[in-house]
Amino acid sequence: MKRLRLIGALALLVLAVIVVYNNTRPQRKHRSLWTAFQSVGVDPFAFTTTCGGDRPVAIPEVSGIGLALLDIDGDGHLEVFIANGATLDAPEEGPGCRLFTAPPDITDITRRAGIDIHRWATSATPFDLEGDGDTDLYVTCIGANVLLRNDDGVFTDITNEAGVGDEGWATCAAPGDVNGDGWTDLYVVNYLHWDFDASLPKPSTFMGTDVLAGPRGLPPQQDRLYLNNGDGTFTDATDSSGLAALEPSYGLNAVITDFTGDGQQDILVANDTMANLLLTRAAGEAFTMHDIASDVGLSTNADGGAQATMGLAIGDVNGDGAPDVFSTNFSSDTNTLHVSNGSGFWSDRTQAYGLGLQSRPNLGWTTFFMDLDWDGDEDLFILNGHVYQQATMETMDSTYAQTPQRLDREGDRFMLKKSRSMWGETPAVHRVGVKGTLDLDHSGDFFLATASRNGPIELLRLRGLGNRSPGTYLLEDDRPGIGNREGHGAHLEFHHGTEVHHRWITTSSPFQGADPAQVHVCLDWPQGSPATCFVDWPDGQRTRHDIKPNQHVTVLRRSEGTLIPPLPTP
Amino acid sequence: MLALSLLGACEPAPPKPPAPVPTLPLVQPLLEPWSFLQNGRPDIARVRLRKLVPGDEWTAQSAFLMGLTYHAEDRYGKALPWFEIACAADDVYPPASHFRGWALYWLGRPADARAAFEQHLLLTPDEGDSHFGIALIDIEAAQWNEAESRLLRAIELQHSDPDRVDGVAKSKARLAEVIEQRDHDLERAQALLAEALTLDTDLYEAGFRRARLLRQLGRMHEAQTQESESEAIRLRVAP
Repeated sequence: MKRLRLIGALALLVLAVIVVYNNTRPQRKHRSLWTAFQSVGVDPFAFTTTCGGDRPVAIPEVSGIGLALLDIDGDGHLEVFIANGATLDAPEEGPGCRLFTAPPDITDITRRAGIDIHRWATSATPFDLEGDGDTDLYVTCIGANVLLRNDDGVFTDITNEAGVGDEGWATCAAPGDVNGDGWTDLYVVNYLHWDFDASLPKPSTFMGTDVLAGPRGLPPQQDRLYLNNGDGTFTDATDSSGLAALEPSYGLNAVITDFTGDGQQDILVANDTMANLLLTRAAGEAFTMHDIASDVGLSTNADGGAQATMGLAIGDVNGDGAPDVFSTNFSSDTNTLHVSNGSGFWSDRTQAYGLGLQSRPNLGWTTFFMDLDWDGDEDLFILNGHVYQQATMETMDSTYAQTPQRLDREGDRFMLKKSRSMWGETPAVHRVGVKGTLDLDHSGDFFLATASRNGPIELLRLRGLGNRSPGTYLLEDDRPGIGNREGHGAHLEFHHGTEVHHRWITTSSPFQGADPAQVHVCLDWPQGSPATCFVDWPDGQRTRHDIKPNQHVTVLRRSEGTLIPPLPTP
Repeated sequence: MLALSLLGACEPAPPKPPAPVPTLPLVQPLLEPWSFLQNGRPDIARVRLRKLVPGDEWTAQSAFLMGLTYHAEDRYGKALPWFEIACAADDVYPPASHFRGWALYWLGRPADARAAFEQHLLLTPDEGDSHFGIALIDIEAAQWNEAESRLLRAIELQHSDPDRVDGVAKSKARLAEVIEQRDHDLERAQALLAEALTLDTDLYEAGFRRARLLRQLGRMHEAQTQESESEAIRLRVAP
């Protein structure tokens, strides 16, 4: 009898715990759906990338491949550009960059598009150079960068005329209108001085193991700022803007948007083993920029540690409408989440959101926020893989090949998602990935393309159960005299019922990759109910647009509120 | 879930937790490698240890010391197997569980680390640093109240021991994090960090955290001074 009473009491206790648990969980708008990335064919591009030899001995060989998704002919369907590398013995004569149409009819259109770049390329930045509606392309390299002007799907090398052929080792270029004149400028992120003709620097040691040298011990290189003149040429404003006065750093990534909320575009620069920068426009008539990262808490992690920042993801984690910054870093360190407190400061909240310890064994590259389970809040995706082939858990507390990580947002936490049916169960060395609605098969589905060093290009489709899926939103500023037509750096604020979602167009944030200028948001059901999108344009103006939820929509600035309906199904 | 709980209610009572075990001094032959380790030469300590231990006859103390040589170099993947050997040895040596906890923590395995720290607290209930380790795992889980309890216990256990001033300092620094994130009391948090810095002047991480809070409180000059000082300390202790 006594035992029965005990059992009854325990049963009540368990029920009480369940009830309390349910009542205290954050209330969600709707249930998460099962989704997973699934491969679109095996080696769909039948192409193997090149980035040095199979056993890297020098730091350029571990830099990785660049990828970009862009629409070269304005038909609404994206193409895939591969910024391919080369080898140490022939850095100017690699197998060359490639341009492919997307599935289902994958075709190598490199030659037809007039692309002939065999220099060691690192990334590519699609943007509209002259405001003519064509997507032009800036390819960064170890060596002189290349600017390709697009005329109806055929590219012409105009680097010299445009004055953007910086000869350093550029890891990427961020597009955005930093001086507010309506034209898309380029912030070129440079890494370090490298001389292919010199003998290799002495190896370094990492955790007791000899490894290739760098970046420490090698001279960092000054970034460059090219201001778009609107006539197909640029002005090198590195000196005049004050950037040249900054200490050169090992730059790996940058994004341009309005971080400080003053209506002007800022540049967040991610550096390797050195403090990150937040460049804002200084007061005064002349265009100058200065670094305020340390003042606002974005330069280092909470402990003052300068990290090896590679991937950047911009999202609104705490719902205050200000951009929060998630960055991927080296192994034996953590990835870092800087959350804005809404008053101009960012605090390292990595641990509080559950993103610290689980990231220590990984070396992260591309990362992005995206509502992967279609429940309204943004999740995180990270591509991982070490640079040192010697890496094992025993030697370096990390492994060479690593699995990608999907972290689903649950309440105030990001939880590592494990699913047997997920792509990426097998460890690999993925470095770069770009994402977007390719609309390659007119489905509006969300795709992810990834590249690994000396490996294949993979293409993944986000498959899901249920009839809900995110909408894709593009901007078009078609006012005369505006070059930044795609709204690089814009902030989009979606209102739907009681929901508010924030997105930023920061195409350069994946490591050495460029997403299309799209944002994705899964608004609450039913689909038919109206929604509003406020756009904070890069010039500081704000417009309001009525939109239909969860569709493929282009928001036009000139004809405010006009919708472009979903692309017709053939 | 309910059925499992009911089944559990009928099971026999769990075994009694192990009684506390004293940490005995290192045996005489291990004092030499220990001195090399203390003097910043873990590599020589390893060589001496291998000479001292024939074959695989590792005791809890010798295996622990071998693990500690890697731990001193922040090579936790190398250290962990040695701490595992030490923990599995017949001659129980409590610090092995504690350092196994830290190795697991730095390898990104918080659940295993927590279990190791808890195991150590069964053997050595008054070890403040194990409470501190569990507090960090609680912070990672945003369990602020639990973290606070652990940190206060860590401070209580170490505050009267002059050799544990750094343990008190880092516990106060982490307590500041709890106060900031749970209570949003920036003033109290920065004061705790200032206390931590008074106790351990090398704790540059606390200095950077304090500088950030001072900035948020609008005390820019103090923030700049704090940051400069912290950078100077960092360059000295972790160049």
